[in-house]
Amino acid sequence: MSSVGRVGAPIHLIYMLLDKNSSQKFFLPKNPEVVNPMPGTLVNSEAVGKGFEFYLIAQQSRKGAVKPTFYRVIYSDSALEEGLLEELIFAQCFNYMNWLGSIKVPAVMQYAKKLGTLVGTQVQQKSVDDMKNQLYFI
Amino acid sequence: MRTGMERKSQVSLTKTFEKGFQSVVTKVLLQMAAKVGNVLWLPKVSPPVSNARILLIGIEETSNSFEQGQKVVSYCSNNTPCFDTFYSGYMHSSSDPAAKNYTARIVSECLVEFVKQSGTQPKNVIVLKNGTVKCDLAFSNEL
Repeated sequence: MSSVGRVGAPIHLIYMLLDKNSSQKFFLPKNPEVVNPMPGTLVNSEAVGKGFEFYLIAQQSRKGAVKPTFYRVIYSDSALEEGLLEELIFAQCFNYMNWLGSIKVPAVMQYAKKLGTLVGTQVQQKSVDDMKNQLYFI
Repeated sequence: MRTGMERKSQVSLTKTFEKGFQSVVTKVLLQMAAKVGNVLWLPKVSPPVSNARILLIGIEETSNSFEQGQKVVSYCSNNTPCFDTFYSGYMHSSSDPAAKNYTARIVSECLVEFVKQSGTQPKNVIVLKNGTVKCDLAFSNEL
């Protein structure tokens, strides 16, 4: 990274962890009952800690209570404007080619998961370099 | 193993066919189109996000059913600032020595590919990881 960074402007890094099995639940009061929050709901106060962390509901749930995804930034030297990171993550939840709507995590996470599952259950060999730019695993 | 006889294929369960035409179209046509390199759609982002030239890397650990207790580390990242194409790879945590401290290696590999494919270097690199392991702590110490 440092060798590439030396060529031009410095590259900023944000390192985040996510938890898609968070036990937290959020509801939207709608008289006379409560319903699931809409996709795009961001919770970044009260239910979160002091650090840079937030819950994001990106997916539409038709059954039961929707599971929010928890994000925690553990390292950042970036000067991204507030809200841009959340906007990017939400937009990337729509970029998964296996599903027409939004999913609960950004597409790169779901692709990595899909590839890991394929390799962990079906393939026992090193990855082939000329296939690395194709979504052969979806 | 490469034989030169590889063909793009798509598995579809009989259950999918029972669901109706839309499911079949989704499973067969869209997935096949994405597999051969087509960009099916692109989510709109505001200009500040696209100007930030972001490289987003997702890292996932999955259990390896061939070797008990071993993991498969897979990763995926965008190749261009507009998120239209992706780069992916994996390593087995048992046989690959590089897998011991994989985060730095993955970031470096994805960064080189981004520069190669888009002809520009990113301003921001965002690493997303599911949960945490010892190697992440080692990586954050390196930072």
